[in-house]
Amino acid sequence: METTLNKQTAFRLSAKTREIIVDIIAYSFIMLFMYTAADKLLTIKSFASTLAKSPLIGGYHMIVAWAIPIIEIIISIILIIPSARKTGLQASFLLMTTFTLYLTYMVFSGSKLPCHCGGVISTMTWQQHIWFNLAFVTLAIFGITISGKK
Amino acid sequence: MNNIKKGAIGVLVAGLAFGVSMYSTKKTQTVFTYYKTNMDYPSPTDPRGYEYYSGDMCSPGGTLCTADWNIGSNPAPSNDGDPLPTTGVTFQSNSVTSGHFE
Repeated sequence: METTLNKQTAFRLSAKTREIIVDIIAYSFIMLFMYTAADKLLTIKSFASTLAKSPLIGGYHMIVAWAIPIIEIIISIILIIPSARKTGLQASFLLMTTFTLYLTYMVFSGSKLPCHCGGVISTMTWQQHIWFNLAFVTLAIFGITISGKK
Repeated sequence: MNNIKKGAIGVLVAGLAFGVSMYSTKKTQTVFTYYKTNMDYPSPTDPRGYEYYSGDMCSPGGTLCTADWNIGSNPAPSNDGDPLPTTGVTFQSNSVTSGHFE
């Protein structure tokens, strides 16, 4: 009982600290999304061609190639608005989870993997890419959790 | 920190990330990924046998699918199948990807 109480005290964060942490998480997502969105938009033809080889996307590659950077920019704009930050983090969580599930499916389904992932993480392997995404998924969950506390 | 300041920092971060990404992508526009389509020239550092493709043409199996080349002042490739110029190009070390052209 005493141990539990001590643990709760150790992890209790002041409102100010929570606010700062949520801000830092939001800025991290803004950086990630805006950086990758710009890269995808500048190399849209190459990005679409890579997506066309994916068995899950195939014929929708052009729509998906434009939709992903546009969604990333929209989420970044939501994250910029302080009062909508929690919604932005929830949207970030959904997007990163979708990316991670897609990558995991591609790696474990035995599908023929395209060689390039594109964007800021183009030098990573697909496995490293999954871990990178999972780190951001965890960050989003943490941000959502502490931003909801009073 | 009030909401206006937070929003301003958000805009700044977004603008910086977008700008840095555009700058770094543009800066690397003299470096292109070429596919080794002709294995009569199997050396990755041999500019012969390379062609440009905008999409991903690699399949698993093999040790040389693509390599990055700095084409210097040569015109940038515009169409799929454009060969790598044999002069004025520089091989980018550690840029070889495994697999084979398909």
